[in-house]
Amino acid sequence: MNGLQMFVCKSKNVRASILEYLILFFCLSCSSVNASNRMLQVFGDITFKDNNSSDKNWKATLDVFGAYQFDQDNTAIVEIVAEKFSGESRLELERWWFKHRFNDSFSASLGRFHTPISYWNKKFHHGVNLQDTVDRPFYLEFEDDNGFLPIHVVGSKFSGDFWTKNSTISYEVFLANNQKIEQEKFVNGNSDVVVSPQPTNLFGDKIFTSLGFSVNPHKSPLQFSIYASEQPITADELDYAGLSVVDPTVIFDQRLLSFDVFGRWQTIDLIAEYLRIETKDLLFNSGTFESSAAYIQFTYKLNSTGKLILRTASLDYSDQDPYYQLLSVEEKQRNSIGYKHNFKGFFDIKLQYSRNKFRDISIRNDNELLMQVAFFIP
Amino acid sequence: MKTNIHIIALKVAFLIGFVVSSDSYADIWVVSSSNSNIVSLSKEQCQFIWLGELDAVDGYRVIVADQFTSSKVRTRFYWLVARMDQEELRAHWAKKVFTSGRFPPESVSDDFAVIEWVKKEKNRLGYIDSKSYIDGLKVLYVIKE
Repeated sequence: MNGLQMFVCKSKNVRASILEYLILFFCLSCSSVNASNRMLQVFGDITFKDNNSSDKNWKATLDVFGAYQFDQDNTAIVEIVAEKFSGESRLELERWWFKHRFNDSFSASLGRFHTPISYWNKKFHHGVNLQDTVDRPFYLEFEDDNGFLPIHVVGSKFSGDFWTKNSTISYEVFLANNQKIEQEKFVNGNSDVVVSPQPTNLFGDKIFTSLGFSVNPHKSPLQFSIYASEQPITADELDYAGLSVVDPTVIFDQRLLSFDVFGRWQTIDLIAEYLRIETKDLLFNSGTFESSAAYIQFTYKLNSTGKLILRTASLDYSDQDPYYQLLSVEEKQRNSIGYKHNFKGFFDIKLQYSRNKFRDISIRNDNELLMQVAFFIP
Repeated sequence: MKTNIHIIALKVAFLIGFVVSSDSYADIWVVSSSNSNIVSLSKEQCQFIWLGELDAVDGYRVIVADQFTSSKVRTRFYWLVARMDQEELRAHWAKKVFTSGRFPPESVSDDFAVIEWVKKEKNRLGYIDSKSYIDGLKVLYVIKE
């Protein structure tokens, strides 16, 4: 077993031990909490994808979510996701936290969270039944699915609400562990190298900080949020472009600033988000680079069971930006049109056509057909 | 012949009983303590507040109580305010907890427990059968059958 493989295994062992701990926590909670304050939900889905580069694949997901209210001030959740896709399976502890409410304006939580980087990441988690499209906006994909943004963090969160005459203002502050670039080499050589930023579990030595505000006007169908974060991105071991990192090193400094708006009218939902990413390269010391990502999504309710969805999403970055080169992220625009049909409230079928237009003209634009069957057992 | 008369009488009694009982549903009143800052509520505000979509009225934070799931007042309240049955309500809160970590309102046993609960703080809201009304409460919205 080479160093890189050992490194990957070590991180998986840490995840496994946390998982065991939480399953124990889950069982204890089930036995001690009043049933009316305990919720256990199961989400599941099977997604089929076919594109013109001859990739046909499928993925099945089972998501078990438990939520416990010990009393009015103490709550906890656990979300465990099992995935199976073309020849591989995965069991991940995706979210967990324990929250103590001091008063309406201040609560403290500890755990593994989804960051409030965007409306999508705050509202839609791993249970895809609740989202209208088959997939997430491509630049907000989870870290394990070639995502490149801090979607999950492990650490502490402080949050609360304030009320004015016309609106509710919410804030969220995160002090958490930074993300770490993980490089996974497969046995068949160097050609298959997967590099992804992963949230550092429990014992990170660098800090991810973020601050977000949401404004929810009481008499308006619109909600607004703004978010900013800063984190050093580290790597423990990395072989890239002739450079070898063997000790834990900060290789990028990343700052994010985002703005999102959500609107709901009788038959139309609107989500629009803009994200600006500033990355300081400390690996090659080639400078500071700016990139941006955005999407806008309209959902039109055709009747009580059917919805039509339109979405366009894009990512723009400088060709010299080493962050995207390292992670092999393509600069592109992705346009999607979809239909969601709901049966009996808890069962959906979604169809989606997406077209990827790459900025790099050497990459052929491609079309994708996606189908998803998703259910939810409350 | 005598038996037939008995059966007819029984049927008539059942019919009268059914008509009387179906007509006997009292209004449901949304109440707070008499010193509450809230003056009145609309049906839409009640819907949004009890479904966890709205947590303030006129700039004042409000906290609501539910009645136990076995309560008939609860079933009627959600049906009349939000056109939701108990299964739909459960699914709604399941989604709410999943997406936002927000839990359903605290549940108390009956109208009298609601009255005790709302009287403890000034912007607490509850719903009760109008027959259970006692002095010291402010009626913010009347839900008619």
